[in-house]
Amino acid sequence: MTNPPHVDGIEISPTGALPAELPHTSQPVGLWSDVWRRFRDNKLAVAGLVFVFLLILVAIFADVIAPYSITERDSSQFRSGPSSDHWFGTDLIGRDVFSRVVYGSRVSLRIGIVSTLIAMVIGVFLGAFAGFVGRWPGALVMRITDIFLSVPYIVLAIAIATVFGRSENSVIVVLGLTGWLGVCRIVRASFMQLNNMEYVEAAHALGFRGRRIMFRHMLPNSLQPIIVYGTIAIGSAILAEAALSFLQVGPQDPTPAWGLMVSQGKGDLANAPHLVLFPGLAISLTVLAFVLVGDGLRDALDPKLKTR
Amino acid sequence: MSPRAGSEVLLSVKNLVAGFDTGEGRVRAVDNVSFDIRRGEVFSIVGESGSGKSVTAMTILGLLPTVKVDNGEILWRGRDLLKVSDAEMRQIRGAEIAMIFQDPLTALNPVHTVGRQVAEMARIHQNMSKKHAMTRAIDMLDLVGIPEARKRASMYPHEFSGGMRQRAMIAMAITCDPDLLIADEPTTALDVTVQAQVLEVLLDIKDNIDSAIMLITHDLGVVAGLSDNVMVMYAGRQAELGTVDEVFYETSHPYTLGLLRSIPDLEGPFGQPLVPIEGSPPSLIDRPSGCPFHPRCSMARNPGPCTTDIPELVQIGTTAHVSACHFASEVSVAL
Repeated sequence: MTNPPHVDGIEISPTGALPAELPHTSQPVGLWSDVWRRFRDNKLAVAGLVFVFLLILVAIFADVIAPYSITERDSSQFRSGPSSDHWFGTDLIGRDVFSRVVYGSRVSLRIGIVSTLIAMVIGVFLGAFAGFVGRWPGALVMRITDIFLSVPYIVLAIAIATVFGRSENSVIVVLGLTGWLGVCRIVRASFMQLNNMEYVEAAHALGFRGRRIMFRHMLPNSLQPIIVYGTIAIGSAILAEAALSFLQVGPQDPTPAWGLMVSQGKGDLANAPHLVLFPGLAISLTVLAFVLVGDGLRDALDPKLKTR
Repeated sequence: MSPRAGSEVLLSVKNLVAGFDTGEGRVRAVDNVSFDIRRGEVFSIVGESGSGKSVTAMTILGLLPTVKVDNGEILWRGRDLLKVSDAEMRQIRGAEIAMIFQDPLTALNPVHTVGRQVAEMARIHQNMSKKHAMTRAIDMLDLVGIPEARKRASMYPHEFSGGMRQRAMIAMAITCDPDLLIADEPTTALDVTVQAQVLEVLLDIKDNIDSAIMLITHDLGVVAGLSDNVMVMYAGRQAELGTVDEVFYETSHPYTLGLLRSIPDLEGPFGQPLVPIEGSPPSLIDRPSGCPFHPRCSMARNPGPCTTDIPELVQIGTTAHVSACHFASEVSVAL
């Protein structure tokens, strides 16, 4: 070798990566713009995102969109089907189903998002701790997780509803306290893997504190599965809320919870199917939308996982 | 390059014995190792994989929670590192003793910009403000020879090549002006042309911040070119310790001799086969009796002391050159 072509080492990549992947002179390509580019290509995920976005707008502007209030009764119409006055018909006592479904989005989104946030915080903390510290404290956390896994959330929900009464907040507490198990396991597994990464060892070797290593160096690296799981978890929480409401352990009438509306209408399925159809559809579409967004995020965040 | 006998002893390891517990018993990864590192010198540790090089280094920094130290002292400027608190140890790590890792591809966190990672050192050890720390980081990146340091500081590790990343690692390690840099095979993952540059950067930096370097490597070429003193390790024990000239030209341990003979000679006749050391390193759980090297040693005498007695370090000549061989004085004759 008489003339080493790339003395500086900039052009030589020991991994054999193509130079095109190493933009030296151009502006660095942000991770998130890259993710967005891949997410955009997934039509179903975009549809889900649009639906979620619309739902949030509906929840914010429910006052403007709903023609009636949630308790207002039309004494001339009970259980009547869809009409120009009442787009989704009226319920057993003459309340406008459309308005109640619109207001119901607030209940579902609030419960779904707040309970998922609680679950995420608990799960991330415990999982990070278990994965980072390992050994017996880690094992202890995982045994606690196992105990929680063996208690059906519905039983816990009934217990909490009995103690604190039936309300939106008790549903949030129930779902928050039972929803962290999955995140905890994901974060633990991810942290155990990251413990062996050289940059984590390097952080120890350069004198960083444990807490700083956990939250500044390791957590951002396990954020991708957390985001994906969290998005899908919002959908699951909304579904769980509907189930609890249906079982009459969720919020009480006149709260326009979709599950409760389905439950109240189920007796008249033959005569007034709209009582079940519209809130039921709202539940299904919302859950589907969150799951689609979650799936889309998974593919966009980690293109290697894509199996299609 | 001469050993600076007169300068301050920074690190003094005395009779260090350390190991891990495994299912099959205790592994003595480091067995009765002693050495001094002085300010300004490059101290190399060479040996095969599993000879205890990295464990020795990691034990100094207290980075291996599973390693138990059974005996010995690690004196860092007079303080025994085996006795300081976790908080004190954290202050020493990075600020006084900094480590440069083997694989620059994985030793930088992929989610933070390079500048931020270098700046973080200044922030946690020197309590600098974000802005000052970033200025410091850019200066450091500049010092290790990263062109357009200001622009590159805002890039992520995946936008750097291997050599650039290793430079960034070095920048991180030197941000707090440490007195000792431990470099664990710093060039193994790099391309040969880049290796030389990175080593050059390392040497320049050493003189620049007046520190010492502990270089862990199995590349004897690197050792010959850079080091002042060399320690050869075999199966967790010291085989030979001395200045580069002593170890390379007055070799007094058959293992060192074997290592030197196994290097391809570019000036020798073409087609000459390499001379390997026969056999493989011993299991650290089930050690051979006597000298750990005797099963592979061409000079071993059986029956003789080689199979029955563990050789102690004996002084060769009048300097600090020592060798753990029963027949140390006969080795250099065979050279």
